[in-house]
Amino acid sequence: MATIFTPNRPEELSEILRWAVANATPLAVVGGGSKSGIGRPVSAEHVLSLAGFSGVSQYEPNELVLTAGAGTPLAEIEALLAENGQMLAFEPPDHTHLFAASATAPIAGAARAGTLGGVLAANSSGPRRFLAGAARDHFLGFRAVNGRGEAFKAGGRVVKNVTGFDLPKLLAGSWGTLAALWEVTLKVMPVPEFSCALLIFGLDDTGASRVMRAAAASAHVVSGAAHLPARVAVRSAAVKAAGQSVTALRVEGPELSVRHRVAGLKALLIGGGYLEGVDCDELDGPAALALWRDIGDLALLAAGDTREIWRLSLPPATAPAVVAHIVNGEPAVEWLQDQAGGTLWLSCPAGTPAEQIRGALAPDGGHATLWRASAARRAEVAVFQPQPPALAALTRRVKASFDPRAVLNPGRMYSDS
Amino acid sequence: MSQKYGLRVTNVFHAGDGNLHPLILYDANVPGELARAEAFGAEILALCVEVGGVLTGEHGVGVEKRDLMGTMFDADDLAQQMRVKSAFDPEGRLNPGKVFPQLHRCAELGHLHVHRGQIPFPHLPRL
Repeated sequence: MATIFTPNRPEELSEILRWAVANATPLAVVGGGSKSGIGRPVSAEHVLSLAGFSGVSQYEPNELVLTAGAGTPLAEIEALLAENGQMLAFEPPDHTHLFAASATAPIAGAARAGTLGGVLAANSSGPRRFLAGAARDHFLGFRAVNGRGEAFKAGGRVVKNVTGFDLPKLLAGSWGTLAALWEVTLKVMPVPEFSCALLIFGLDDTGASRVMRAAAASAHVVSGAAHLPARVAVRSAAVKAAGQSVTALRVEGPELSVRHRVAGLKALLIGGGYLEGVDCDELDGPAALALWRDIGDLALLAAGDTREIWRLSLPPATAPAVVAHIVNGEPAVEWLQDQAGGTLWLSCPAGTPAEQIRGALAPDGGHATLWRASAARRAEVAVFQPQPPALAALTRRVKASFDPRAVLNPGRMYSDS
Repeated sequence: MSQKYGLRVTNVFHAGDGNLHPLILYDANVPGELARAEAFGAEILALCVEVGGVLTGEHGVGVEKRDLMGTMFDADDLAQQMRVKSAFDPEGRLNPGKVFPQLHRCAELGHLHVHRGQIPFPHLPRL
């Protein structure tokens, strides 16, 4: 019978892992369980929950640094930061609605799912990533137990630190396959005083790509650049009135600066001939916050129970051609461009061949992750981009260096590590 | 500390991001001053770690700070980093002697690669 272990002291965590090693018993590592549907199914008899390591142990707003238990709910962290006018600048999204028993769009204002440790283990980052960095770039230090049952720490509590190997970078995005994190330290940032989105209506993917790249390369410090095709945009309360595609460019900071930069951005785009024959608008306040949250949370893509969601990371300029190649006139596929085109989210009918998706990427032109699919499908399709042999061998050696007996989330990322 | 070691120190700070650049002034022609300057530096670093800081914020650990790694990391912390090094560099070919205080453990940990019946670094003392 499956046991859920919920230690709340590091010594207990070490003991459980030493027991798992001694009995060759793999464990499924979870925080809040909100991302359990992502990755390959883990065949583990027992569950190791890190939810017992909850609570903020050190937070110095003036130092922009926070230390908390890995199982601390993200909602609790975000509420505490908000009280102090701060935030996690990498904007961790909430994709729980994709994995609920019946898929429904997230409820505006509802508490965010997930734990701080889960956010870091998944390197979960939102629309501000291309400017502010990913979760990985804000992850300063941790304490953890590896797959040998040894407690160890890495990194520190200061932003500038190059002492030894930067293991937090390696643990970010390792999906619980290397070590069980129980305490994490992050860099936090002030909330911008004002945020405004310049909206451009009616562009196609190619036109939007040019606009987003020009904006991201400008001096106006754009912190969000997304393109929503018309049938995706109509699901957003903030922009559906237009009834057309929406390209959104976000500018943040003191209001005077934001107004100046939005005007400068618009002038730049007009001067470049990007806005001929299209309408523009500006959006700020709660509606703008809701728009970016909906984009990050994938609240606007069709997510019926059987649809499969893919995440593609690719050179931004290639996004329109990759979309055209994959969609190829197939009306059932929906998509949106985020990160100025560097991230492409696709919602496809169940069973869309992985080759059709990955084959659209140029050689060395990015990677594709099957973000949401049935467990059966995730067991048979490579969920993460298949690695060339040398890289796969390195992945196996890194895994073995932390967890030689493969007791931590075996197979979550690759079938052989 | 300056009085204790009998050496002057000039302090330059990147105050905004918490970086200290103490410049210890010594005369290499005076026997013993270099060793005192190094001991002085080591004590500054130990204090940084004690108050929650780290050994280096900008240039990493090469040789001079290598033997101070133990003030910040315990044996298990260092062993995990060395195993990761071995994953990338199983034969210990890349900058041996840098970063990690006990070189012999690098070859000892993780997968010891035996090539044509030869173990790497046969001259190194082993645990």
